[in-house]
This record gives sequence, C-alpha cells and structure tokens, in this order.
Amino acid sequence: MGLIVLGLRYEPSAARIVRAVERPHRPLLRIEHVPSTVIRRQELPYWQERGWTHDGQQYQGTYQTSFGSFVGCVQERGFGDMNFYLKDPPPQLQGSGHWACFQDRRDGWYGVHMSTPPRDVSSGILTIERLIASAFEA
Amino acid sequence: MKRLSVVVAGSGQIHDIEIQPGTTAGDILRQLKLDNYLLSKGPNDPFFANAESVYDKVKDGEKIFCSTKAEVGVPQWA
Repeated sequence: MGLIVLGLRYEPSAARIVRAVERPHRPLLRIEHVPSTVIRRQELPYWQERGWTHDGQQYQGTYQTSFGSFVGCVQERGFGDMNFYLKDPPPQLQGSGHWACFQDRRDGWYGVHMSTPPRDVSSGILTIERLIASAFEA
Repeated sequence: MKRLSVVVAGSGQIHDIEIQPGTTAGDILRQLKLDNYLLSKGPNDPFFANAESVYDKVKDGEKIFCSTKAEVGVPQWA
C-alpha cells in the first residue's frame, strides 16, 4: 500500500501523527509537527542534587557511592569553617590508611578531619564519597 | 570534538564546553577560570590530574564535576 506523507520535514520519529485518513483509491497520512521543547537543566549545588537537606547551619544526607550510601552530616560554622561527620563508617574505611582522620564522636558518629579543607560543602561531600569508594576498591 | 557539561559542585553552575583530542583537565579549568578546582567524572572516579588528557576518558555529552581541592587527613604539624 503506498502512502503520501504531507508536511514531513523531519525524521518521522520526531513527528506526531494527528490524523490518518485512508482513501480507498489513494491512502493519505497527515503528519503535524510540534515544535521541539528545550528542557531547562536545573543548576543545583551538588549537596542539593544528592538529596541533602539544609537547616540553618546543618546539612544532612547520605554520602553516596557505588558501594552504598552512608549517613552524614555537615556543620557550617561560617567563614569557610565546616565540620564533616559520618555515621557508622564501613569496616573497609576502618581498615584504610585514612582511619586516623576519623574521630569518634559517640553514638556511631565520627568527625572527618580535613588536612586541606574544602571551600564549600559540596566539595567536601564529594571528597568523602571518593574516600569511601576508594576504601572499598582497595 | 566532544561536548561536555562541567558542573561546579558548589554552586551547580553549568559550563557547556567542547573539547578536542589532547585537551587536558588543566586546559579546561584555566579556560573556565576555575583555578584551585579539580575535575572528576563523579564520586566514584578519581580526580583528573592537571596534565591528564580528558578527551579519551569522557563520552560526548557527559556531565563532569568540578570541585575545590580538599583532602581527608591529619595536618602535617599535628
């Protein structure tokens, strides 16, 4: 069966078929084009993109790696002073060379000492996520 | 040519760039005026060294992150 397509300027997959009319002697397919929509990207800081929440000077969320997610917390004290915490560090981290940088704060919480502090919360979260992932890979 | 979206982790700001074979992480950071930052594909991948070519290690259209230098560790003087 032959088809005549009207108004087809783009790839058929990008078009929307709104009406198909078949005539016994001359089958006809009408295609209407809908203008493409540009989807705007969200420009979110990393902590927000990863689902952390922010309340006052405290951020709460999870350090997310391909080996699992680990509960964390960040306290921002202003002037670039930030403290990073990790709850229940995995055994892989406890056996790593960086374990000395973790200070027991009770109830499973550990403070993470930064020898080079990040300039923003997101960079700190990324750094700790990378550290956890590398401990699993070792 | 490959297109990349460089996301500044701290602000979420996105820089759309095009790179050619041989483009290094340092070239990208310098051109975006992001000194003292580091590039990575994400938390499960290591940082790109400044002199490392990025082109072969990324896919066209990929999103990569840029974060400030930070290190977990005990300070030298401690």
